[in-house]
Amino acid sequence: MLAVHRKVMSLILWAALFFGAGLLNLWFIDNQRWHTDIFTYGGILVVLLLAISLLLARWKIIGDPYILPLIAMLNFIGMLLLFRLSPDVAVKQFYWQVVGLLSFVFVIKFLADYVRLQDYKYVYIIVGILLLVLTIIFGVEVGGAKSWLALGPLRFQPSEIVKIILVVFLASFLEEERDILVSGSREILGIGLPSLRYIGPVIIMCGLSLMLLVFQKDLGTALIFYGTFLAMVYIATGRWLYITSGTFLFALGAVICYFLFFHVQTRVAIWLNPWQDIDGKGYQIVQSLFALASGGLTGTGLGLGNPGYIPAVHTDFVFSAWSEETGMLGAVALILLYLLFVYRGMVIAAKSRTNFGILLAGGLSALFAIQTFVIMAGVIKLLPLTGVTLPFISYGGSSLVSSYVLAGLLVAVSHRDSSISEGMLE
Amino acid sequence: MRRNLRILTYLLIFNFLIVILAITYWQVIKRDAIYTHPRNKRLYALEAKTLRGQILDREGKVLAYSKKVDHGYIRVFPEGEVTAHLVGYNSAKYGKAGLEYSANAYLLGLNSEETVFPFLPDLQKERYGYDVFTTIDLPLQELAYRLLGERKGAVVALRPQTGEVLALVSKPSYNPNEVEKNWLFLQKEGNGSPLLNRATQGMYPPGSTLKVVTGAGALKFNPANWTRIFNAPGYVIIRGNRIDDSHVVGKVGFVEALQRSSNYVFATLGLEMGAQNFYDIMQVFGLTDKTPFELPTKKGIVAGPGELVPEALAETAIGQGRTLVTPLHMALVAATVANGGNKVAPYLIKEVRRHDGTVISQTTPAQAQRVVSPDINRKLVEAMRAVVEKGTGRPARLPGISVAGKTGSAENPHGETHAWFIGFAPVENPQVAIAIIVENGGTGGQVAGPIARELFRAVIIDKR
Repeated sequence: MLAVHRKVMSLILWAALFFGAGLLNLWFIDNQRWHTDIFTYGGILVVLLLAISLLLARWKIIGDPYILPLIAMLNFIGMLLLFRLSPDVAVKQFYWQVVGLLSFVFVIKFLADYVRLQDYKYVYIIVGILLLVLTIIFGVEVGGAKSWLALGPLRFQPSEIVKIILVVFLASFLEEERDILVSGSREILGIGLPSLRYIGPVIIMCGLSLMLLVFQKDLGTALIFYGTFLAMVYIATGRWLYITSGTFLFALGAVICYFLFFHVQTRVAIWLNPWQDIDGKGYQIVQSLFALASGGLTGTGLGLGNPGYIPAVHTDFVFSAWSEETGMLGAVALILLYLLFVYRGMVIAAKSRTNFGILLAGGLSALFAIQTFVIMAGVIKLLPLTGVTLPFISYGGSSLVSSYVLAGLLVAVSHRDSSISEGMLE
Repeated sequence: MRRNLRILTYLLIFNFLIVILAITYWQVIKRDAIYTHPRNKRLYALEAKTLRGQILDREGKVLAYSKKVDHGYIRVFPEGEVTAHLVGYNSAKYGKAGLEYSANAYLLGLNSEETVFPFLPDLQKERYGYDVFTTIDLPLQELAYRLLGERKGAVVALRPQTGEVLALVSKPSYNPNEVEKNWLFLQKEGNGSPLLNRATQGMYPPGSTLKVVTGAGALKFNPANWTRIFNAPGYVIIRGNRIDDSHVVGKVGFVEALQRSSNYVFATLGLEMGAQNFYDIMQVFGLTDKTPFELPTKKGIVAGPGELVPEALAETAIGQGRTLVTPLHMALVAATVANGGNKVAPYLIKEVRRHDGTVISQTTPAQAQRVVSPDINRKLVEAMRAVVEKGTGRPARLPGISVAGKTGSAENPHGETHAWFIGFAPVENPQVAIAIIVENGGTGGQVAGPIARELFRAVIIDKR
């Protein structure tokens, strides 16, 4: 076993210590509500994570040593919170964790040579658009957003998968067209502009995001798609022109939507002043603010607050629940964990030997950061509230699995590039 | 591309830092204001295991307390209807009102240690709230309540030098002990809105009581108005709009004009000073704003200078037109004149004490704000004194005591005029300033005047 793998395992054990303390905390508070089952589930999860790190050691995967421990820590926080909020939901999430961890391993094992992903880029865009269109036509509305597909008893959110497909597609597309996008193929007013053929996808992306906004009423996902897209264009070209004009186009579209659609207007009104309608439309966000304020600096203590007053607390509002019970200190700690994850992702991108790797890892990290930002900012009234999940913590199968796939891809990128530098590949 | 990556990373880190700032804002900076918001359901959980503090009058007579019963506590209001609008009600089902609502954080005993360590209340077995001592003078409150009788209306009495509210009555009232039982009745239209606190939230045309304000503005605008002789024709016509003024005909000075409430004179004075000056004097008296207070108040409805075309200005200057104010607003006008032309802020909570009697906080009266000069104020006092001595306010006269006041009979779309009286006594050393309104009561002097007289008597003579 290499030093890298020993580091991974010891970090996971530290996280497990925190997890165990948290579970004990719950058990001490009320061993009727939280009986010894929680230790069984928790134990299995810890063992599973350790087994995976052993497996990676055996396969000689020498990717970034911090990704897996960070996932472990986020998951432990997530499981603790879900046990605390609703043990039934937590058990379901536990099974999704297992599925997620398996997909994580699967992605690392079979996509270790991730550059191959580049070859099928048009398959991705077609599959992606198809999934979105299917959702628009056959989608089921849950909590105001029509972003779910039902397959028998199973429901999943195609946009969760499409997010990743989008990043892979953009990474391959941008890698190929990068030179033209950077220099431009003709000049207007002294500014080099690429022809329509090259900025076509830009416009398609704009449209796709707005489509999400209009047809699915899914402002959050639209914001994430578009933000990720702009971030990746920036990584590829470094040109602010694309970013400013892209932002301007999106803002224009959003303003038009504001005036065209009543539900967008109410949403903005609630955002600006939820206190006007505490019992009605402002209810959720006001309850979230009450939770935050009640937590104060140090929090009420895990299991001792009342986050249950917030509707949808285990999906959209987990961050508020966490902040109530662990206070501002806990909230900042969690934000820093996410920041560390994003930072490691960016380091992986920077260390990558291929342009495709830089774009892929950079894009995935940006996606992860933007999604985390959008939901955190939403529940603390920094942005209008949008129903997206907090990666690795919110309850939800599609979201959890897609977060694991994202993390798996990051490890794959870092593995290949570290392997090259150590002369193990090629 | 690596450079772009770095810039992007900085940008994303920046976003997360903003989230950290925002979360600090909610959890530390705004923590108290939001946590103690009466709509925070967590406070109900805390209330269930807290012996809620008492609400008391200025002498320590209990206005509200909690009694232990088998399944927790019940709230008892010994004075019932008499103090209903200021003390409020407290129902798990329908929420809170009055001081029960606005002083909730005190009554629950939330303090700064618990602000820093929110888990502290959970660790305590028995919690005690804080006792809230009000500025209310219960005997005066009871008297005002009785004097209004079965009529709708409101009384506000306060100490002009400090702003301490001595009595605050609104009628019809309700029994706060039986709010849950009577909820549907209290809510139903046509029952006279007993839950509405008319003293702080009832909106009424001020009628002729506003002439005190118009007069102040006129003396400020042109000091010569004080010695001027007006020739009142018995009506006033502005751009074809006729306002009747049959009581006052012939030659009158400023004092006599107020004493007999001449519409001609004050409409003319309003027109002369112009819309902007008129609006300014309304504003300095606080009529255009929401009065800051421990109970919910309303902003006065006053036409802006741009809307005050001459005929509207003339009407507004005599207290008619679209102007609407609360009795609390008018009580402050009386208090301001009583206090040498300096406006103080009204308050209801005198002191907050811990269960063991140690004082947590004490209200110090706010710095008074100059509204009119001492010279103008002396003239206003002289004119208001004449109103009670030989004018429309004679029913408020009290032997041996000099009383200043102004009556009003405000026209309104709902029938008979609202009867108003504002004033203070004794003139030399004012102990109390009041505003009284009796809805559709008739003439201000005849209906509200005697109520004022009895209240003055109680404060000044009976207390001796």
